[in-house]
Amino acid sequence: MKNKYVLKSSLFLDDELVDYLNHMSQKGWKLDFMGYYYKFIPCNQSYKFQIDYNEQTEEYLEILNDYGYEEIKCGFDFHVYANKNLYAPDLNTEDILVIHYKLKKFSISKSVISFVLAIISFFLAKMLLKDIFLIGKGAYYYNPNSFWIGILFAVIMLIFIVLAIYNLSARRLLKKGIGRLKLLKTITIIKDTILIIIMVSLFIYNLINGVFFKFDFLVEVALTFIIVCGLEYFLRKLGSKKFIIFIEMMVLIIISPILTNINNVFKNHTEKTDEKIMIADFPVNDDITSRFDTSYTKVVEFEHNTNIMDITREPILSKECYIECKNRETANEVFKYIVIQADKDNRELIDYQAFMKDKNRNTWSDDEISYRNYKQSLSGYKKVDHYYINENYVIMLHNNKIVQVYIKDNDDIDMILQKFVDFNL
Amino acid sequence: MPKREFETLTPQMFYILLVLYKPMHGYEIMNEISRITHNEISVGAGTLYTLLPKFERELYIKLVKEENKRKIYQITPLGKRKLYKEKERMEKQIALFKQMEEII
Repeated sequence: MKNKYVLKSSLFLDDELVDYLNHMSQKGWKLDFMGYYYKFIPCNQSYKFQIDYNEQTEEYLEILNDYGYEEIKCGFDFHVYANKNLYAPDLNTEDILVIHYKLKKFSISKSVISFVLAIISFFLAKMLLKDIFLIGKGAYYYNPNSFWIGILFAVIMLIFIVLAIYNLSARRLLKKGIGRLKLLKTITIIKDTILIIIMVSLFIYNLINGVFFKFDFLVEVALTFIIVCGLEYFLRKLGSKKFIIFIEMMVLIIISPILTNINNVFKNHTEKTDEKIMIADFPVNDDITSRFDTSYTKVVEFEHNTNIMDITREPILSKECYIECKNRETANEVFKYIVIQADKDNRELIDYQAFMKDKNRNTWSDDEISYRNYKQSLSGYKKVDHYYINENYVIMLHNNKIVQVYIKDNDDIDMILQKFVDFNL
Repeated sequence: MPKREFETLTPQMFYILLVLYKPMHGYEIMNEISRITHNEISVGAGTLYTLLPKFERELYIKLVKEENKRKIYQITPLGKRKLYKEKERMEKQIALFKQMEEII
């Protein structure tokens, strides 16, 4: 007879779970592993099962051994024991202690941490999705990855909200006593179902889009794997499993930008050299800050020092970019996005310079400057041949190509325009 | 559910403290409780080994010594006071019950 695998969620009803395991052993199936699935192996006799939350000290294990209890492998933070003697003494005879133990698992601090992480995810999602909601599909075409990462953070935010609410509800139900455990089991099933649906949807989406087979993804997974294995190796003697997982998560969050950069290094080396020709003359002085290919665009971004100092005496950086779009239609939408964004940047810079000169103004925030619609934004530019110029930027759309350049001073304009002409040729 | 874990003692908690007037280890505690209650109350090993460290933290019992890796505990003056309080609480309940019986 082969082994039997069962998917089941009964973590809050110990009696129900023990009855189920006893019943399975009467039917010839002995529990061999308990985790998010249960593994049963064939057996010829009945067993008495017990769920236990005690630390396995030597003294305690000796008593369990005397009673005839053997441990069953368990993926959760409690222990499962089986005994051939069906009349062996019960291990837990006081329900209230079990409730106290379970309450510890649903501490207020867990809910607070979940809410804080939900808020962080919300702001990250907002930052990434803001342009797309306010400007439209041009922002999506410009960088669809940003949209999908934003959606990912929105999903993560939802997960943390579900976990926080679940944690608080579980705590409340446990405080009301044993009678409410059935309800707790129901909401646990609902929570697990929601989480499984979210995870499966993400997995299917990534599978369909081939994310799992992309070079970037594989490099990041490999680096993450190496780091986690290294940390496990060095931290294993330091503390509990929970502590190690916490440290690993913190380290991964802190180094995630470094991982992405390492990835870019790999990526840049593998790029075809002819792509570099496209950006040969742009920008005039500065280094590439990011470079990404999407299904709609190939984008190279630069940061240009405006020589304007902010309040902390750091120079304000201005964005320049070279974009090659998939087709003319996409280019038109991306152009609208660039026009709207550069118009806002321009007004921000002008307003900031005015603020610096105005002694009556004490505070300045870029939140005060909002996006204008395409028509309003376009009215802020002067059209010279094919170029759109405002106080700080020159933007050009030619077939499926778009260039946005920062004007350092008036002398630059002729040189920039000449470069545009060269580029068109 | 009580606000504090040991605001009132359950029978099993009560008997654990009671038998610890004499120093003994976990196995002996379980056997002694079964003996004095004529098997009416039996404390599971899991329950006992959850309660012992908690009682120790509350200073109701103290670790006297360790023999063959077995920890031997004994009740403290604070633990005794807790038992007396529990006794008074139960006596009050019985007195009230008797009063009610007389009225009925």
